[in-house]
Amino acid sequence: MDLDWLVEFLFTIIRLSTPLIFAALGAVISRKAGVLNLALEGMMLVAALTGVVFSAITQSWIVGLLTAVLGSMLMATIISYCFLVIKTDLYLTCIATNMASIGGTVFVMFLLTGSKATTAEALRSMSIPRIDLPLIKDIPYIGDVLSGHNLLTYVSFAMVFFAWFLIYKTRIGLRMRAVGEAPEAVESVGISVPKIKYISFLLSGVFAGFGGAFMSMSYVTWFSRDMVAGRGFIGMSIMNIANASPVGSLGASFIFGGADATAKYLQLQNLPTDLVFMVPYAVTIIALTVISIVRIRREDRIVHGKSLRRKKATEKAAE
Amino acid sequence: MKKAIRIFIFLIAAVLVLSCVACDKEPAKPSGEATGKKKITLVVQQLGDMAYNDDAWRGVEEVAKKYGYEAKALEVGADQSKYGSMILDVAEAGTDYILTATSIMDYAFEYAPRFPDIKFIAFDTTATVEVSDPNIACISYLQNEGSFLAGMAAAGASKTGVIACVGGVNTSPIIHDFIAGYVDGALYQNPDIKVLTAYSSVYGDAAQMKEIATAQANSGADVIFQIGGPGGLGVFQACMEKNIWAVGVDSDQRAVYKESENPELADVIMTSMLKKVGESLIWTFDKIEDGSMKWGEVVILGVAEDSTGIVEGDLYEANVPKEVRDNIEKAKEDIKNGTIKVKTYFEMTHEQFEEFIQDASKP
Repeated sequence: MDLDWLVEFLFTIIRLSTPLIFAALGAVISRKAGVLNLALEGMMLVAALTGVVFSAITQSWIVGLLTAVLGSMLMATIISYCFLVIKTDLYLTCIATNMASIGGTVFVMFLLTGSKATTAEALRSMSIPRIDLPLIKDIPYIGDVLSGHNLLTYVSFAMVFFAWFLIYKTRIGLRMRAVGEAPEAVESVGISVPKIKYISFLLSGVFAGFGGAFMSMSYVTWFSRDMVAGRGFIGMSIMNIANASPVGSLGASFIFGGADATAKYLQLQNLPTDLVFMVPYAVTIIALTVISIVRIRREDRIVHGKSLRRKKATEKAAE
Repeated sequence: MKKAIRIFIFLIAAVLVLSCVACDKEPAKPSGEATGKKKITLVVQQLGDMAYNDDAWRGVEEVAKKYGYEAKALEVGADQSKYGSMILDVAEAGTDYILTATSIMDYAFEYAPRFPDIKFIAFDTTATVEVSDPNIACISYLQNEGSFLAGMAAAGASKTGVIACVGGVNTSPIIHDFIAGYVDGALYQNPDIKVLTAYSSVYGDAAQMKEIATAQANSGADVIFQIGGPGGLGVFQACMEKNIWAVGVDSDQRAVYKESENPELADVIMTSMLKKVGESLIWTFDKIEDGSMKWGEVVILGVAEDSTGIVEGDLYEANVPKEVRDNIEKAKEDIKNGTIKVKTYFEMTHEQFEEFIQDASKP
């Protein structure tokens, strides 16, 4: 009985983490090229709507998923055009895009369905299927946790590897990192900096598109007003906690997903709701603090060849 | 450069000429005076909440059709600092009635003494609100009474002995009042029932409400009452996946989704707790038209006035046992004649309320 509860709980964590993984990867890949994508929230929202609309028109989830990603990429292209060609400020453009997306998606939804709240009444959209993993699903307990998730959950895991491979093992990844660290140096060897920035921003849009599609085509099967509810921004803080590492982002997403799932289950245990609502945010602050301490220690070790504590101890001994 | 200036001057001239043509043809006239129609302005945060705001607008449109008024909805958004000036704009532009929901009420009532010719009506207020001006009326609903009946139906239909409810946000006294009535009704029907209560931290976050409802279902709940506007759809989907019953809120949500493109959502909605906001506005304007409306008061509408209640549709008949349904009919009568006094959030402190729902969630 208790183990069933744990299985359900772990399953919930993975489900809650999926959109966060996509958002975090979107932040990571844009951050690496020094063009942090603040518009993830808006892109996810637009992707969520386009996915629902086109899957309803074509009655095919594949088309829905592809158009969701394309919608998000289109947004990325527009923002890139603004800040790379006509030289607007990147962050202001992103913030404006977020605000425009919140109102704009409701406007488009109203035009298409006549409802300002949700597409559930007027559109019958498809959902992305769940996948049972062969072999793994037969393992007791572990199979129940790992198998039976939405296709996009497995895609998100694959994307973590893809992002890692792209950033650290390919030429384009090397250039992205170089653009993020020292754009002048990249320019001096004849590589187009705007092009690299555009590619990384576009990839960020692809990840956001998957995240948005997960919200509206598998979490639930409709679009509703402002349904991303801050998950794009949480993705950005995950990127920060993980120091822009794809694999670290996966871990940090699970921390957030876990905190969220804990909050849901704690409410059932009769704890005051205000306290419970605080849990995910408290976990964020604690995680940031712990990671910052670990990072400082590590840097210290690299610089001085020993840990801070040991250094103090040796200083004392010397006295 | 010269050419640019010339084009600029030409454009300005063109604009001036065109605007003169426009003023010759259409002398500006306030449309209300021109048509002689009375004007109702509904001021809400946002339409499309699938709850009381939408229902109110439906009611206002009905009134406009019935009595030949001119109806307009103004969506003021979530930024409270703008409410005052937006209401002032509406009042100065000329309107006969300003209708607002609770959240905007205070900003509107501020202007009541300044605009004695405009009638202010606030709906969905708390029963304890104080009305001081003679051009104000408040409509308060006893949602606890309707929720009481929903709680009885849920407890009667439950096979596991555990039921649940999800509130859209934990800062609204109205939502607390729904829950107080629901829990009270469930305990009245079955004193041994376990009622799980949870809230969403963001209003309208369907994904979060789905997650909460799934967690409640995993803890054994087999009937879940949603009080969360657009987020409530998440609860319906969770119930669909877990194969349990949901209870809708405000309007007959089964009827709404049965006609929609996703009819399978309707098949989990056993019944809906009704709060007839639209009907009550029609009723109010009926009274205004025949001159029997009393201003400067709070009108309280509950089960006795048939303003709150539950839907008794096919799924309700099929899944709530006969003796429970008879009991509900009896409870309705008892609420009307005052034998049953339904617990309300407005007559307890928040601590008492929390203690009450915590006791109900213990086995």
